[in-house]
Amino acid sequence: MRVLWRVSLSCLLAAVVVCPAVVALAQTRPTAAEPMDAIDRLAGRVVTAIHLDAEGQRNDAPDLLGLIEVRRGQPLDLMQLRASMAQLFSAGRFDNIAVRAVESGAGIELIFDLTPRHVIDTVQFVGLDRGMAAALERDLRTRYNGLPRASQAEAAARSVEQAMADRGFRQANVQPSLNTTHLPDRATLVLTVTPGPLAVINSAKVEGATPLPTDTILKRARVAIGQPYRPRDIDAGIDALTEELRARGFYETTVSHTHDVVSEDGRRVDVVITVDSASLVTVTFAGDPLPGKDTELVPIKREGSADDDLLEDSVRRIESALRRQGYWKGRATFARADTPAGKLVTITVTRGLRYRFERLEVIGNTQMTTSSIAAMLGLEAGELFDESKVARAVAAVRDSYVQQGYAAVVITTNVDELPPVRPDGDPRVVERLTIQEGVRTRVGEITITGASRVSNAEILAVMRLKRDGPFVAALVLGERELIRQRYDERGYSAAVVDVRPQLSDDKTVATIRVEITAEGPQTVLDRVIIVGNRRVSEATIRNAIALTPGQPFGATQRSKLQQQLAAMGFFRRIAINEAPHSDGDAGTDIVITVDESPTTTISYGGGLEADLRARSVEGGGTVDKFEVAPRASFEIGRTNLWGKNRSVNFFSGVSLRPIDDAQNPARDGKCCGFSEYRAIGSLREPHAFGLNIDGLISISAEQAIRSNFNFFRRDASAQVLRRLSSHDSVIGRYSLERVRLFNVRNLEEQLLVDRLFPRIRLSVFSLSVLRDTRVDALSPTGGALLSIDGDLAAQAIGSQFGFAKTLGQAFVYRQLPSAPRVVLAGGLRVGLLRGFVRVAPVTDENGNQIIENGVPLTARVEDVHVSQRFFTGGSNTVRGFQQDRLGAPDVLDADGLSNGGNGLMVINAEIRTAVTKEIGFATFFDAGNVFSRVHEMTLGGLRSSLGVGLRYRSPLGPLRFDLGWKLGTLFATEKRRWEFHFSIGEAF
Amino acid sequence: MNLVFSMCIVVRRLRLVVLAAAIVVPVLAQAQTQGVVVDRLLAVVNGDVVTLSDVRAARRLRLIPGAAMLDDDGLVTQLIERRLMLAELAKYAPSAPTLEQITVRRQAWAQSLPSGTDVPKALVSAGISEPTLMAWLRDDLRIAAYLDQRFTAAAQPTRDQALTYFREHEAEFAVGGVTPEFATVETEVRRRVAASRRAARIREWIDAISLRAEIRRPK
Repeated sequence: MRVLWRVSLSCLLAAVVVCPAVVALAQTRPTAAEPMDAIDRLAGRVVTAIHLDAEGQRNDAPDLLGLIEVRRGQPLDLMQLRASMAQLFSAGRFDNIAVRAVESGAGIELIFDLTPRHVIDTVQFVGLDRGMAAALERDLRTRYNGLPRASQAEAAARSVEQAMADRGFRQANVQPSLNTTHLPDRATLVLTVTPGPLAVINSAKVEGATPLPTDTILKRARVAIGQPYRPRDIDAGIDALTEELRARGFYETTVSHTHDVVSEDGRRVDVVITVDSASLVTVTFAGDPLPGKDTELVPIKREGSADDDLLEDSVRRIESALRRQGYWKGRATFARADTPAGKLVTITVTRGLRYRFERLEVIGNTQMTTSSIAAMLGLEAGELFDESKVARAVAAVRDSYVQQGYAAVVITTNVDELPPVRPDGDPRVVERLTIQEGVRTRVGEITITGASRVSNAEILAVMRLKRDGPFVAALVLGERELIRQRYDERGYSAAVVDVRPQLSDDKTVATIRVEITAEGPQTVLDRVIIVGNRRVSEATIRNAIALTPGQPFGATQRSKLQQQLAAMGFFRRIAINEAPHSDGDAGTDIVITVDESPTTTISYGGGLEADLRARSVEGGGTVDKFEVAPRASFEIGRTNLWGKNRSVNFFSGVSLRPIDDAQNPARDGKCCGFSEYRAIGSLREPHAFGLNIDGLISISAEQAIRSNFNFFRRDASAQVLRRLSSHDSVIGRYSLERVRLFNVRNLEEQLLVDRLFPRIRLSVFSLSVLRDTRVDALSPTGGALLSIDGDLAAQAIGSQFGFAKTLGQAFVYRQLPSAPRVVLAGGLRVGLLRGFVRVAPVTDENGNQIIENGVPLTARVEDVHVSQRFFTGGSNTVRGFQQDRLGAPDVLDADGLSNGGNGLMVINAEIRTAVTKEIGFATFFDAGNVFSRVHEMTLGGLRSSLGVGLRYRSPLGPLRFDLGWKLGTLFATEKRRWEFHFSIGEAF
Repeated sequence: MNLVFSMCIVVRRLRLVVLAAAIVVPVLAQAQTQGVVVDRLLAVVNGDVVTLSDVRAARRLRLIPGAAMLDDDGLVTQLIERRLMLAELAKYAPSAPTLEQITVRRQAWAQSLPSGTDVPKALVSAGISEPTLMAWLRDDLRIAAYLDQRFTAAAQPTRDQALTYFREHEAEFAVGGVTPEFATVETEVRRRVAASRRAARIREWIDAISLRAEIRRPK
């Protein structure tokens, strides 16, 4: 019985132990590598299935399966398997990949075990207060230009330890760990910080000679006994102290605290500030006056240095300035001397005589005329002699000869001095150029060897050196690059090209030998694999990049592809990886891995607006009141709609202003109401209808105030934009809008058309042509903006009245070559408007048609509605005037408010000078006016103003403060000569 | 009694069998269901992968000098350094070897394989195509040319350096316990010094480019 019991127990034990083993047979887990012969045994077996396992979960994503070259139903090919691994990895989404083969019947199943790359998108500090954590995260983001990668977690922890030490926690310990999340695969970098004790300043002393008291030095260096020891703060204090000492003339000052002594337990630090102020350096000038500002010519203070290099540069700068002023033999020298007060640097200027240019004489020139050389010189007889112009002209003449094939040209200059014409005049100079032209070298035979993939004719076509043309040695290196580039465009990126000229004995003929040392393998595009796109459809990306299988693929195409993908604006990260075919043929697959940007953007803002506003007063008339209005805006946008390159955007803005009630002086201008607001919804579609045009549909509603009236407008529009080049574009637009006028301030002087149409419907077709070559659209320093807009409205297309309107604008910006901080800006705006005659019913105040003697009263209207008329004056047009208050006498009403006109002309000229990176000044002249009719427009009818302005490049954008001063006679309605404007952005 | 005794023996043996099965069966079962790792990532060099199949091919085809003597880790290191050198070469584009030079190199490579090796079969079993092999050998020649151009001339010792080396390594040149005159072995001394200096400089260079590179070895 006992034996039976034992047998039973053993059987039970067997069942308990063996069963898990049987269960294990049904499970599939990763394993270690098998011996090599196992792979041999599996190679060539038919692959019955291919699966992807990401962190143990089956994930047979089609885009990833598309990267695998091994095919189901085919024998396992190790080359294809290796290529599949490379392509999967090049997708940039996995940190590790392993492939298992599991026997399955007659064949094998391949399982790719993928370890997803968990991008760190959050960092979390454990053991620190919020302020310290935020500061350390800022440091970390600065160091890694974002957040570190998972593989950099350890290094990131060490950098945080260093940052803690900089803040006084010298024994801080930081341990990194990653908290991974899935779908999407992201990670949080958790940095567990043990700060340790905060080191405290135990003692502080200053070593070295210094012009400042010890207390001041310590205070400036932010060192105080008993306070935490923060090396970074001390460094900042020391930098400021060094600047201060240098500004006082101690140009060679160095300050450091490298000898600080830390106690063994790391809790106390004895700070030692070492100051080497050297001597006070004083700069004096002797001899003749400086030919310019000392701060510009001898920038010792600005540079904070008085070393020999800077002084030598200063002396050269002075001599150059003297020569530009005609002091051809002017000299400057510097000398150092030790004095009891320190070091004295004396710069001595000797101007000598001032010379004037008399004439140019050229000898030996057969290929260039003397007059053309004189034009290059750019000096007129009697003008101050500027030797630097001669040097420039000689260089230009030499270059011209070289371009013509005269590589050995030698030009020597001689100057003959002539006495002054008058006893009190300046001596004169005759500049004599002696030109030894030498032989002209022409290009002889061009031989090409080793080229089979690109034809000789094609190579000759890309070369700039042509047979029988001039030989220019400087072009040879460039030719090599041009030919290599052509090879690259054909997919031969590894081509090696050599171009060597060989001159004949008499140097009249240069034979060019082009040797294609190696053409290398051609890279031809096979498959384009796109991974990582979730919302943007693959078709949209393929349309944008337009790559076709079979086309050559080199660096040129790769660069273009990167640009095309970036231009889509959907991706925050783009990686292009080439995966050459495993069988060594020319084909390569391109794996484009994208990381999509967030599709929804939200922005909001707020601010204050201040201006003068006309307010009604008891007894009639208006008075200007200074009013401040808070503004707020909100914008939400979503890009990449429906996987296409579409975006939708909604903007709203509102301004809280004093109430507008022109007919009720007791209420007009009292607080408060939302008298200005705007809401716009828009849908943008690049490459609309599959064409090379951008489409935009928008709907808007706005209420706005003008000087003489308020209006409410609803507008629906459709626009197409075609970019002709990077600078030129054409825009076509149709809009249907309804405008309602209200709060008209001067009803008596209101034009008939505005009285007849307090509510109006406009149907308008517009066409604009734009050329924008500006450098920096916010604050242009060069280029131009040219545009012309035309609007056409007619009753036939649904308008309640018709008009034709044109507005031409031209703005030009130039940086002065001699003074790059100065920008000259000029602008011209001309607007022309004409209404089409129509007969309109006359209505009463309630909008009912007036009937006289049984006949409906009508009126002939030719004026254009006020919503379309031109207005000017204000911060962006003529700055001596208030916003929209400028006009010919018949355009303004009795209170000086504008009714708008059919003709507009505005001319602007402005000199913008940058004083520092942030601060600048401007002086401007504005002229302009609005005329009742186009034929009344004259230059004599323009009103003008002069002014000055201050510019500040704030973090919010360029802020502008302008003060304009009216020129000429004031109108009776104009109460003052000046106007002040505050705006964001330049006036034009 | 005998029966009882026999039963006890049977039970004891059964226990042993059960215990052995408990250990062996799960291992076998796991191996079969989890399959065989046929390839995996061993290193990433500037975004370029080194795989188990690369290591296997390098060992089987003797593509790396001394591959047969190196373990997997050593071979991975060699493959990483080769990738680094090739990346460096790409910056300077040294002249490509001619087809004739590559053909000669291929013949030398084939002769380095054990006699009787069926080369096409060996290539297939290592997962390497003929064009890939030729590209590998071409890169071998490019690397060799670059190293010669950059390091060989610079490694030549002066006479004093050769003499110093000779004095420090006299025993290595002794024949039958007799140290020869320097002049008689100067050529050999110079060759050894140059080789040693060249190897040291190449090592320094590879270390330097390794520091600049992003190298990762997945665990």
